[in-house]
Amino acid sequence: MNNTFNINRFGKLLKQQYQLAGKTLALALASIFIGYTLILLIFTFNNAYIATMEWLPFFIILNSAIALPFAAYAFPAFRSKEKTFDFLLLPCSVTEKFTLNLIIRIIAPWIVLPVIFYISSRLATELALWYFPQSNIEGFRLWAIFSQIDHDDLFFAIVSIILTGLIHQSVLFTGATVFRKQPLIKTLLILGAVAGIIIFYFYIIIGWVEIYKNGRIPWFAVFENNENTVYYLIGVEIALLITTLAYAFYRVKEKEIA
Amino acid sequence: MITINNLSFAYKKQAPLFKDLSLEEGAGQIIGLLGKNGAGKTTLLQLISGLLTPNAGEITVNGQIPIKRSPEFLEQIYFVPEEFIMPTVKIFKFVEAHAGFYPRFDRTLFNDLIKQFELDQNKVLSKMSHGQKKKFRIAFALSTKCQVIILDEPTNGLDIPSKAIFRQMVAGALEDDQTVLISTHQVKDVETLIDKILLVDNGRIIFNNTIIDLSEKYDFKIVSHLPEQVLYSELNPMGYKVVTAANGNTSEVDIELLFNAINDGVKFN
Repeated sequence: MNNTFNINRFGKLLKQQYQLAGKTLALALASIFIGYTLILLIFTFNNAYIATMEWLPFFIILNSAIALPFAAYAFPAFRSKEKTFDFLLLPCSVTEKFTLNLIIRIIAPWIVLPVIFYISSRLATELALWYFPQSNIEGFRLWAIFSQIDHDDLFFAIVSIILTGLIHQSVLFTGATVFRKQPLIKTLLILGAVAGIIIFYFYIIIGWVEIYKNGRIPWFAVFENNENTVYYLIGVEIALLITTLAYAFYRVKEKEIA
Repeated sequence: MITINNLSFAYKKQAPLFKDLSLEEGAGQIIGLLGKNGAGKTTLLQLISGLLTPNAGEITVNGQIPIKRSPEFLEQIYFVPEEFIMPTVKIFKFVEAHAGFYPRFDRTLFNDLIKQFELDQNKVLSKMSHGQKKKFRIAFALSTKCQVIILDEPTNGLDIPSKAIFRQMVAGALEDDQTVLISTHQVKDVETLIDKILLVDNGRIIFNNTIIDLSEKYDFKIVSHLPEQVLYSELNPMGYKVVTAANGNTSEVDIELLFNAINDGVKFN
């Protein structure tokens, strides 16, 4: 028996999720659709002219507002001792349980939320054009937004956007394996503290110690005006993503009832 | 087969609960795990099922190390905890969602057990009373036909008729290769059910014997006057409950009396 990953067992796990949480998921998706549509209706009904780019803030804010807390509440069984008990004893491997949560909480929102946003935006556009025929509203088209980025930078732009989103999700996802109660708030507090320390560090070395004085070159100067900086950043982002997910996996593997 | 070798365990920042505990239990038994409050009965069950990591020592269940929680091990063990949360789904839906994970799951037996407990398959689990939920979990546990079934305080919350049905079910639904571990305070509820008694106290197994052996060696009875050769006695409205050496006949073991006698320092060989 393959105790690490068995596709049949994983299929059973997927089916189990659907059977136990299918209705809740359908209700949640319907609520998201209604919420998106209402917000976008307010936007389209209050603007006679909307360019494609103007949809972008809504796209980012609305999808982030759903996807990030959704990742932060991964492994819902960990919120109570009793549910953790059943989660740990379900006859599936840690890899299967982890992969299921990864797919549902991190990967699926990248597909589902843009689709819902697209449908909601089209609906809001059509309704606004029907009610105000004289208005000039360009529909939301993700590719039209990307086409405004310089062609040479497009690949890096897309990779950076995806990696940045994934890192945010994975950090919150990891928080869900560490904190039992209020994982979103607690992870954000930890992130805030880490960001504070980093900002303080740079403030100290740049502002206070005046590291650039007397021709000195700080360690991070290697990134300045370097054409490879984008590769370094992508490398750092990938390393960060792998590290956070590996830690989340470790937390799930080592989870105990006490 | 459950084997424990020199197990030591302590919760964080607490005194050790178990120190060098060893135990070996074969298959095909119904074992009653008894002990005072805080003796570590539930902790021992959680260690056996891989929910806790021992600080030292080794536990194996049918040759598998529980804490690795491999699917192969988890398929062989079903634990009914004292407290649990049931999802908002109907019984039949829950069974559809979970039965596939247990290769030996017996749907006919499950339907039969549910019927005996008078549970409606179309009822939503989360809306049931605690007793009904417990009946469902016990019926599901027995239907999995897992080689090790662990029941933590199974009769808590069950009404009197259900306790009798529970005893019949456990006795009737088991295969020869299955072991049932029952932890309980309510010894009367499982008295006629268990084959073996394990008594945990101060992190050690202080008593480990079969009911047959006890009933052959000792007499558990109620008498109006205290006999001279008595191992242990307790006042009773009808006189005295006493434990004496057997006089050749076998008697039904009064587990509560046995428990009190052991806690009073009486040695049973």
